[in-house]
Amino acid sequence: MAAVPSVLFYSLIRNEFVLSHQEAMANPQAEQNIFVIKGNHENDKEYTEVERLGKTHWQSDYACDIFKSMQELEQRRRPLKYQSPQLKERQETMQLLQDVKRTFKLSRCAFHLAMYYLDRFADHFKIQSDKFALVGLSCLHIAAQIEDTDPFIPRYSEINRSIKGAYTANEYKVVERKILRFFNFEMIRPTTASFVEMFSCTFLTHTDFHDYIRMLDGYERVHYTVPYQRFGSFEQMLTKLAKQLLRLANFTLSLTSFGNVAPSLVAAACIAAVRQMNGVKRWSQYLIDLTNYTEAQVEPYSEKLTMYYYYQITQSPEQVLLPELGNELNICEHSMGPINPNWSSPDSGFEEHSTVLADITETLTAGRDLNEPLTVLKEFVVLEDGTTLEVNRYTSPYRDPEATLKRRRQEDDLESEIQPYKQPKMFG
Amino acid sequence: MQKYDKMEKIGEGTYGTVFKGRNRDTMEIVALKRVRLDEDDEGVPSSALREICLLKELKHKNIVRLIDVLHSDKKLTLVFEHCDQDLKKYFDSLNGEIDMAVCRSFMLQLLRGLSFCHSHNVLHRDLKPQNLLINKNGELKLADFGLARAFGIPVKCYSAEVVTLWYRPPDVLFGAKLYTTSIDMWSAGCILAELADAGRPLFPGSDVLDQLMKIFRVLGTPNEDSWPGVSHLSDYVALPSFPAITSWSQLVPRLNSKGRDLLQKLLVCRPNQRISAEAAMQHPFFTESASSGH
Repeated sequence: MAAVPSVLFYSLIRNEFVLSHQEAMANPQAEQNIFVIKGNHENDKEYTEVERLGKTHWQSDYACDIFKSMQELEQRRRPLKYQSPQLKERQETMQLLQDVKRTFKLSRCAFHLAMYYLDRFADHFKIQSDKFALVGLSCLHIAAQIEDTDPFIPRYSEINRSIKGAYTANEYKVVERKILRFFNFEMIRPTTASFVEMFSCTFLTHTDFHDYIRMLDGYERVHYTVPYQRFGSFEQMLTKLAKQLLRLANFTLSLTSFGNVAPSLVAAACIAAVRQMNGVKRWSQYLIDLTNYTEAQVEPYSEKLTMYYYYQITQSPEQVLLPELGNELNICEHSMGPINPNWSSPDSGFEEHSTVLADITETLTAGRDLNEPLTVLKEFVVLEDGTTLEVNRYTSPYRDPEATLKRRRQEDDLESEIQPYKQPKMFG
Repeated sequence: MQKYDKMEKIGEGTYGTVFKGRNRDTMEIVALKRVRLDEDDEGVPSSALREICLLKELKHKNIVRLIDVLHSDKKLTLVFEHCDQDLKKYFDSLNGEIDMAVCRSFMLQLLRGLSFCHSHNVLHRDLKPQNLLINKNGELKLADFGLARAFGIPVKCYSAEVVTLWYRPPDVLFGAKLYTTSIDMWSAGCILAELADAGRPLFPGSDVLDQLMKIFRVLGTPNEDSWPGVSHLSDYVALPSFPAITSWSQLVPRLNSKGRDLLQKLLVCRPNQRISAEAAMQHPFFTESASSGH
């Protein structure tokens, strides 16, 4: 990673969360000038991303009010009833949306918001499998209109071209109307991305950095090695950790068991997990003030995230199980019922989930909390090279966080190149 | 079947045509904003979608109330509470005279509505007299949120084509890509001056350059000392360095000293030095007794 420029972007954040006034005034020039985005760092995507996040409305007089109103608004998110058996479609569509997001440079918040819409909509309607992507793309288009600025919002026709014209213009219009009506136009809802972006420049302080250095020095004196990376400066460390934080936030979208957890809490858990993974004290009074959550509230979720993290890094890339989605998820398909043959009408692709199905999922998921062990079925899968791997399969696919872990890992948004969209199987 | 009877046309919004309407059951008079959906393949236009979604979350007595949304495949109708006129039409009826108590009341209501928007993460971005509705009870309501958006996090690259020229702040005129609530506060300042002068606009520029000149002739031309970073803005042009005027009482003769003080706190070139709506509401201009105005 390139050395982080000396501009103290953190000092731009003029709000009550900045620890010391002295810190905030460290670079008055930068503090005063919130508008300049030009400079030597224009090509440094990573830097500008963090810089952009630093120049948020947190400088405004309304930082506290906005945080409060976002926390109020997140209470009005629609609950997820876990009625949808269409996990396979969800996974494929999430992948598709991620690719489309990258192609059109949509924001992280738009992507998260689209997944919020999609999950709730799919929770209520059984969507014909060949229409799932259509619903997903419509959700992304609406979310982009809510979160992004006009120059970035692609037209339906442009989105459709990127998937080789899979749907008609009328289909998008009909589905859009259906989604808007379903949500009753209550489309503005905060997501984990909203909160994580809000905290991404403030979740690590200078005090954390100095404690970290002291910890490394102490360790080195005894063991002649350091357990964690050394950083040349606070900015360097913040940049690295913020990047991880944003990546982890994206990862939480795969954990469907987090579906009804308040996004501000998920965001706080991401902060705790990233700090812990990097050898920084997990929680502090400062973070309680920043996020409004205590360590006890955050712990169950951050532990889960940390566990996934170690699960992933302990497997070398070739060992990480990437099951063919089709095989693994056949288990879901039996519950989908016969596919409606009437494909010509775009309105025909949806059916409300029957109460019978609701009852079944109710029994499957009722009373399960996060700490309760999952019912596991062990299976063995023979890979192409002859090695055998043990696979865990869970009784409730939609609540199964491990299953989603086996998804193809996304490269981080900040690093990856923009890739052309690859045609998924469902359109082939 | 129809719930509302369409009556006469009231005007054109940023998108769609506005009609007066009546609820068939309750006889309540409403405003109907109609958007045709069959001319384009794009579904609901962004501006309409944003206005509906924002107003769903913003319930305040100084913000126009969205009563209903009728959404068919051919058209979209937004049903609003009906107000008798907008501030522009009100000005036209004044013949150049305004009661300072009315000016103060309207300004305070504008700030209340604005403060509510800002604390709920929403920028209006197009404040002007035409978008401020006034009803018979002297209540003022912010309307036309077609350009408004949740400013969310982070504030980046909004289109520069926001805010009608006369109410556009110098930072936006210079092409600033990042801005916050300060954009609305500048517009509020322009409106305060216009209110005090019974409808004579403060900076009626004919184009961007003329607009900047009109502003700087009053406030003085900013430089790197008074506004660090100004010369780095993408559309920055070096303009003659005018000094700031010394006597605001000539500019807005009917506004008293407290009113002039508030105006000077709103009309600041450097955006992060502009007073916030919340702070402006606490200004002594609004606490003095009505008789001290002149």
